[in-house]
Amino acid sequence: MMLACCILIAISLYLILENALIKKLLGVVLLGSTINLVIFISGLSKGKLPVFWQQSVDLQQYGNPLTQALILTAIVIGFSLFVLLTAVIKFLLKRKD
Amino acid sequence: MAKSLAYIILFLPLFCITAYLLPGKKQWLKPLQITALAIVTIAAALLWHALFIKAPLHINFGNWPVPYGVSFQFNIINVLLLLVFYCVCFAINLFSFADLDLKNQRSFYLAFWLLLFAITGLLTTQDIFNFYVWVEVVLGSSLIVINTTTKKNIISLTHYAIFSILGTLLMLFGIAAIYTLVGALNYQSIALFISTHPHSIIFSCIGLFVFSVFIKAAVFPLYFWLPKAYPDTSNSSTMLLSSLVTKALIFSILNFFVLWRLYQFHTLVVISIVLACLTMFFGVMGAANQFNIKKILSFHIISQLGYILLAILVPGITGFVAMLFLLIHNIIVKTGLLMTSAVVENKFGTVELNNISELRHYSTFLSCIFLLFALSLAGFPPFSGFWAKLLLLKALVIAHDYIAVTIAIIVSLYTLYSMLKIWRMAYSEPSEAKKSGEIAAMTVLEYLPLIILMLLMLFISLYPNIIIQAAMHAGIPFGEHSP
Repeated sequence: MMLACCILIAISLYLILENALIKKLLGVVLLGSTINLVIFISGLSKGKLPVFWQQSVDLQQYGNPLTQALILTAIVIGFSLFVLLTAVIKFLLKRKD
Repeated sequence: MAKSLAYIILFLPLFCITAYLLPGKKQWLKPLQITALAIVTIAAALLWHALFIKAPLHINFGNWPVPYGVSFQFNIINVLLLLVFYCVCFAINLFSFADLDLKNQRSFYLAFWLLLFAITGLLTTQDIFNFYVWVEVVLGSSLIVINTTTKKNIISLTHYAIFSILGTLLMLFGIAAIYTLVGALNYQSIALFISTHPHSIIFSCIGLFVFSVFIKAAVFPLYFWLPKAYPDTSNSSTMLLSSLVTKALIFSILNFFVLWRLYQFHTLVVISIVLACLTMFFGVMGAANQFNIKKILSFHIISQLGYILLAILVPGITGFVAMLFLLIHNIIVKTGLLMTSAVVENKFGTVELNNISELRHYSTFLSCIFLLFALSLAGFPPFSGFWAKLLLLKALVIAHDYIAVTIAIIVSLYTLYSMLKIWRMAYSEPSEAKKSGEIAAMTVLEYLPLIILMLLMLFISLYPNIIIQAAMHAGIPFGEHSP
């Protein structure tokens, strides 16, 4: 899982270093998603079970559900920022003509 | 009483944002701006006064207890900083009414309040994930602010956006790593974890987090987006970004170093000191071969950030006092200098040193103000820059950091050189190029903000004790003596 994240981060950094603007933007989006994945993994550091509470299972064995809320926030913010950025760039490109 | 003042500071910006989103006539814009800014300034002043007697104020929205909810803390230091921000914003706001390069005023003021709202959150929040959210809001609103110009700045804006987003994503990575280890996100839990596990991997996670804030604040290795993006927009936007965004981010680094006691982590401190010295040096060297006033001043923003970072890295109360004084001095003086260049651009249409000359014949007032601010930035007594540098050098000597002392003094000389270059080429020396046509005289809206900033600068120059006492009163680690 962590190895997949490393590969994804490498790909996205490569894309950001490209010259074309669209590749840079795609790299940023990919990097954002990868880091969301990293947060998701960080919730599974102790327990791994999905949180459906049962009497028989020890609480320590459950995964941390809070990270999913964090990812949700990060996705929403990252997406809105991306939309704002593309809107601003489009606006500027239009002005250039 | 204090709580309602804090609510005013937090929610009046939201009210103003809503007001600008509603359809309406443009004549409401100026009165609303001035009244709202006056209200938040007075509220911040009253809150600051109230906090001198009381313990720091904590606000938990939804009354969730601390490890689960997000807590906001108002203490003497961040409310003082907010007060300075509001005063400077008042001056910038007055100038923005006269700014010829500023277009689309409604979206500028909308982003202005969004920025103030986000900065308030950034300075008061007690939770790293919430900190990340505020940083993103600051980034979004500065994208809008940068875009309100007639200049064609697509390349500089893309640079700015990509580096800022990279910084925030790295910050998120750091937060994920910290959360894996600590299992909580608020500052107190992290501080507790660090004090109980001082030699674990936590320091590398925190190092990642702190360095991502360095990228956002334009500290050495990744600083070159700042002198590209900041001069390449309208003057009001440049002043707003340089006085609010970079300064608030560099202040939050202090928060982390003090609250989490990162001074015990020597590698991080040594690397940061080296980075701070390089930031000072490269900032001032970049300014040396520029011939555009706004570009020169933008490079000086970077070198001054190096000074502030250096003061942050000196542990103990002397470093803290020096840092606070440097920060407030910088916010005021740098905005003043940028505003003189903005007036020049408004009147002459250019800030290239080769195209303007003999400004002292154009306006004695403008040249006097420029000279005051320039000498203050270079550190001449009795202006605020002198006290700031004196405090910093004293703190560095106490910490036996003599290499940093030498670099700070050399950088200070180069700062003087840059200021004299602007003075000589733009203000005093006559040139062969003849001016075409009459240049209009300065208007009230250009005089007034400059006078406000000058009075603020002279006030902290003549009464430096007010800031020093506030810093002493808060003490190191500020906010710890409260529940």
